[in-house]
Amino acid sequence: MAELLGVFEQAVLLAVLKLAEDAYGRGILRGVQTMLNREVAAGAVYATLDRLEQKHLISSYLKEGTPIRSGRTRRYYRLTAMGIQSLNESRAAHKQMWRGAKLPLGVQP
Amino acid sequence: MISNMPPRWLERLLLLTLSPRNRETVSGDILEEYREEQLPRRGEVLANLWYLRQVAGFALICIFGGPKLKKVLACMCLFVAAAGIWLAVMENVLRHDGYIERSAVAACIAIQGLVTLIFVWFGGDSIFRSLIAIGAGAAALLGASAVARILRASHFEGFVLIIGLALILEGILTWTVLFQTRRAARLHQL
Repeated sequence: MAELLGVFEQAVLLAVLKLAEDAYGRGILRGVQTMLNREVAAGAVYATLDRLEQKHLISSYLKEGTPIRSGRTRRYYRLTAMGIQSLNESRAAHKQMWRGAKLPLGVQP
Repeated sequence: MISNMPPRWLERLLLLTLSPRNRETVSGDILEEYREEQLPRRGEVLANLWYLRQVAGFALICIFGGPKLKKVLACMCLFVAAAGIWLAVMENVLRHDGYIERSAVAACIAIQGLVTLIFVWFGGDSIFRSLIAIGAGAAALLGASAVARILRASHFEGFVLIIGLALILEGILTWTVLFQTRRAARLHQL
């Protein structure tokens, strides 16, 4: 079993997954913000992307830049097989953790 | 539209905080967001403030999340472990009075250095981190007492001073890396 992912790592991986071919830094940042419903520092997202790439959960490739970004190249990300497995395992771990709990949770008198 | 740029000094600062690998791609992403979203929606002042916040975020990660300090610590751990092994071997070769106790201390120094090295490369859970923190504190105290003793002693032994200073430095660096790791983990939750 792979190392379980933190919430932020899961959000970044899910953003990469949902964006598919359009998964580059800016889109991922927006995706994470939407998912977590709060503003997120760009640096935190890029640091996480670097870390996930070092763990071989995602891979990246470069594409030419557009005039809006002064021609600077874009780095696109995609999930690796290990990344998908890690997401599945994290999801299963969450389900397992919540199993047996009566929802919605309430305060016991 | 395309001529709208963030303040030049801020952009230079951003480039300074980025690794060579990410310099072009990340600065491009931030510029794209600035021009396409922040500037039209918030106006120049607020967009510049947004840009400043991003730069500050990258600067914090650059300072507290960098791998350079870990490399220095790894070198220090290797030196301390080698020094511990050398001390243990020398004590057993020379066999002066109390050599068994001193060999045991030397072996502990070597083990502490090697275990900290394992932590630097592979990380560890909170129990392992606590043990590393305790070991680092003990190493620094041992080093400080060795340095204090050798500076007061009539017979000066240079190698004790060097190893003592190395232990102090290793202890401080380990504590710094442990603090940085916690700090970086918190930053990822921003």
